[in-house]
Order: sequence, then structure tokens, then C-alpha cells
Amino acid sequence: MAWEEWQDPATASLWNSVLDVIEDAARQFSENQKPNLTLSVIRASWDAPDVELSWGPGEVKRNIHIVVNGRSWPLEISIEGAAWEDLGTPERPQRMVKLLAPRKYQAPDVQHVKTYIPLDIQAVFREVQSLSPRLAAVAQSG
Amino acid sequence: MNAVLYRYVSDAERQHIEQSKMIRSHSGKTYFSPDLYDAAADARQRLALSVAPAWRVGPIPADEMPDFDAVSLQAASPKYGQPGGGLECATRHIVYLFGFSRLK
Repeated sequence: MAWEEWQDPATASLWNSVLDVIEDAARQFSENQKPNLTLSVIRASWDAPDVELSWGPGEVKRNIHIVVNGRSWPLEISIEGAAWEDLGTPERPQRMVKLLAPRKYQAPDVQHVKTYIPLDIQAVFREVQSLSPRLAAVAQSG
Repeated sequence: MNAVLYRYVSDAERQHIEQSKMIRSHSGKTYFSPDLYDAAADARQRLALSVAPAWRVGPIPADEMPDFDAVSLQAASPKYGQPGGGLECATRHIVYLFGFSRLK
């Protein structure tokens, strides 16, 4: 959680400007996937500076999660993905999940983010589509 | 929805909440969970938090909460290498807490 960092106006302004770029790229990607898939874009989980792109359909759900780290340029951009399936009951939920190892790089400026984030999303999307959460039940620790 | 909600926070946010008697996230969305976790590691894992929280705020009765207009109640998706699966919801509104304020 990055609650403390959000309190700094300069950091919050920087993060919001970068998150705007990432969110725009995610929404554009989502539009391009229609009508085969319906993706949803959500910005900020708890207090983290991040954007999540998630989609179904069916029982297996998938996401791409893009996180901004740092208080000034160069910012670290981290991209990860996952596929999961919820089993069990509401009283005793059980989640099968397969996580994609995060990719991280240093972005020197906003133009770099604008250029590379759409490519990152495409690449990670393909990888996440190939993940099988059922396999993760065997190799959960990985 | 369950009858009460909690927010899992850092030590700095806890101090701010105690001083201001309100809960507000400057990220624009303030998340809560109906799930009760006693261990920071459990909260981090089930709510897919970037770091382990230090404190649990609540319980706050659900009927004293604003609308969850940012995120309806849902299972947390995997993030930050955590599997998620806990329940979460978020509001764009400020949550005001009951408290005593010493008069000047």
C-alpha cells in the first residue's frame, strides 16, 4: 500500500499522469478486443498506483496488472498477470491460481510509457491467455 | 453484504485516521473488506495487497458506510504475487468515524 506516498502532492500528480497513460492504453486494448472478449479496466487497488485489466469469459478469469513504482523519473513499471478459478463454496472458498512472474523496467519519461505500455499489454495478454489455473494447483508455490 | 466492514492500513494511515476521524484514500478509491483477518500476512494474501498492513480499522457497520460506488463487492483478483480471493469493495466517498474531540 502506498498511502503515505499519495499524501505528497507532487508524487500523487506524477502517479496520476502516468496512470492516465496506462489506463488509456488499457482501455484502447480493451476496445480492440471487442466483440470476442469484454475486458474491464480498474484503476487503483487499495492504495497502490496501478491499473488492472481483467477478463473472462467462463469460469477461468484472467488479468494483467500494471504497477507504477517510484516518486520521480525514471519510474519503475511492473507488469504481471494471472489466471484463476474460484471453486468451493461461499463458506469455504477455494482459489486455483497461476501467476505470471512480473516484468519490470525503468521508464525514463512519459513518452517511453506511451510507446511501450501498449506493446507490453499485448505481449502479456498472450502469455496470460495461455495460463492454466488448474496446473497451478500442483505448482502453487511457483 | 455482511453487516460490518474493515479497512487494513499502514501505521501512518492509522495515525491519520485517529487524528482526522475519517477514512479517505487519495488514490480516489477507498477499499474495505467484510473479511476479518487477524494476521497481516493473511490480509495481504487474500486481499492481494502490495505490502502487509499493520492495522485493521473497524468493524464499521455497513449501514453507516457510503455507497460502494467505485467497486461493488467482489473477490479480490490476484495482484502483487498474491492470490487474492478475499472480498473487497470501494467507495469514492469519505468515511466519517465516531470519535471524541477535546474542546479548546
